[in-house]
Amino acid sequence: MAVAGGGGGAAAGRAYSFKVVLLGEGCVGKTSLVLRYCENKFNDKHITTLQASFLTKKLNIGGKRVNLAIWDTAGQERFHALGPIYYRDSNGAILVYDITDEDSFQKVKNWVKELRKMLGNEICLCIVGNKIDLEKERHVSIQEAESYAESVGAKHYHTSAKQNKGIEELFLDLCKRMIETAQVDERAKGNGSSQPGAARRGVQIIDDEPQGQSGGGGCCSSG
Amino acid sequence: MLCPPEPSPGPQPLDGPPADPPTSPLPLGPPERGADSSPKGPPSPLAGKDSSFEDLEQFLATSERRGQSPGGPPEPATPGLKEPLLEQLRSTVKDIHNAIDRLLSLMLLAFEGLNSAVSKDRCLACIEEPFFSPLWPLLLALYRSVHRPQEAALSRSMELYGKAPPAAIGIPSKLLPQGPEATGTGTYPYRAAAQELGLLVLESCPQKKLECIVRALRAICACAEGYHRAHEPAPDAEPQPGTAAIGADDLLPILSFVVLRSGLPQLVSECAALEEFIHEGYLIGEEGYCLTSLQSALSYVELLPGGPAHAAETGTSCTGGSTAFAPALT
Repeated sequence: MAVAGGGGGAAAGRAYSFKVVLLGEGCVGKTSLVLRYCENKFNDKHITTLQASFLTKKLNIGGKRVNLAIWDTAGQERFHALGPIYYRDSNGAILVYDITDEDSFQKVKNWVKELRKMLGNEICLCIVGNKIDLEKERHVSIQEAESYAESVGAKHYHTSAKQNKGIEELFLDLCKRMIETAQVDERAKGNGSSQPGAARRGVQIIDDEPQGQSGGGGCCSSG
Repeated sequence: MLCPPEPSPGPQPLDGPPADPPTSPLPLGPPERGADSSPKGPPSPLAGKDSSFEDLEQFLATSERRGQSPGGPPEPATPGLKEPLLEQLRSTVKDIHNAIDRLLSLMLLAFEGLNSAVSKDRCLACIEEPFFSPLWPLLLALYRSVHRPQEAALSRSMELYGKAPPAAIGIPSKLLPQGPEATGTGTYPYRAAAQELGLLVLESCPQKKLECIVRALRAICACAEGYHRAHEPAPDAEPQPGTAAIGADDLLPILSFVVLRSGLPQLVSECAALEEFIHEGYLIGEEGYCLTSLQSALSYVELLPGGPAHAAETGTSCTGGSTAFAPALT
């Protein structure tokens, strides 16, 4: 069950549930990247029955419990049009390119545009240059990639799935950013500017506190 | 019969006056519903519920009659014809959500102890089967009328590509069987997954249908792993965990192949209804991922290039989509 665990009080004991989509062209190594991340040294049975397509991870960041659901998407051009149904309601997106493949970086740019258009600024974007073990064959300059990321409000990371470099940091940082975004969201809601559109978003914080049952009013008015 | 209890008697529920529900958060369903759960809303919830089901039956009867006389053009023009259907669907969906909310409220009124997030989920799970089982065939019929163009395009693709070899759908050869299973006449790769989809349409409870989808995708992963292993009879120790693990790049072509072989165009309507009525908590998890993937595969298959007849048939429904990403069928 993916529902966020209930918590008692106001600030403590909550679990955040975040959905993260993984985007990237065919051979950039996104599958290896998530497999690396989720094959945990304390528990190597982390890989679900859906293998690398859908992975989950539980984290504890500064006392905050986080359930991460990582959704892989198909990188082939012919499935591109199906993207929106995967990334709706995502809290974060990891856009992977191969540093030796200029083309894969262009693809990332297209996805960024699309994500910003569909999901606005609420989604935390990570642009990831993978395969830094092949530094000698680099075709995407670090500076270009980093300044592009900055220009679109994304963060840039360097990883090597092969050598297991930079991956923990990437996910940890993303989680922290998603928590921040969720907290800003909560505060905004607390101020009474709750948007009805937020009800179907991925983050659900469920309190055990008794609360009014909507629909109850309609029920009782017939008396 | 279920009847809302009088609000007056002794111990009030903890939930405060009945006037505040519109603002109180309920972790269910789409938010628009909040608007009409105001106390001044429908006079009697039960009357509303019954009549909406009668409407549904009546509607189905008339739409059948309409279907039986294909010669005469229906009264309104084509765009006008779709609108009432969609409207009907929307209001039916709303009625169903409201009815479930009411049932849940009644359970909570009856047993205060159930008023926690976990118990509410349990209640909803209990409601689901008895509630949806009689309803699903009618509901599906309505969804199918709305999705008729997509279903037509799907069955067209199934006709054209139903016998296509898996490699034509883009499944790499390392994820296909080599032996007799590859050429055998009675069987085809990933058959177990197609069989699960066949079971889906026989179920009438959303939760059970969803489980069929999850099992279908798990079957794909298990088959893929098996085929992959058979290719590389790794003599050197244990195969590394995860080396054969497939990602979405492989999953989607295989799932599309399975959809083609299933020969079940109604899956598109089933999925649309499931998406609407499964518990929201499932949408982010494995179940949601499986449903989303199946929907993706369905739209991919739906938009496979067809003959000229295909273009004429679906030209109205998929606005320019088919040209935008002509699939690379090799």
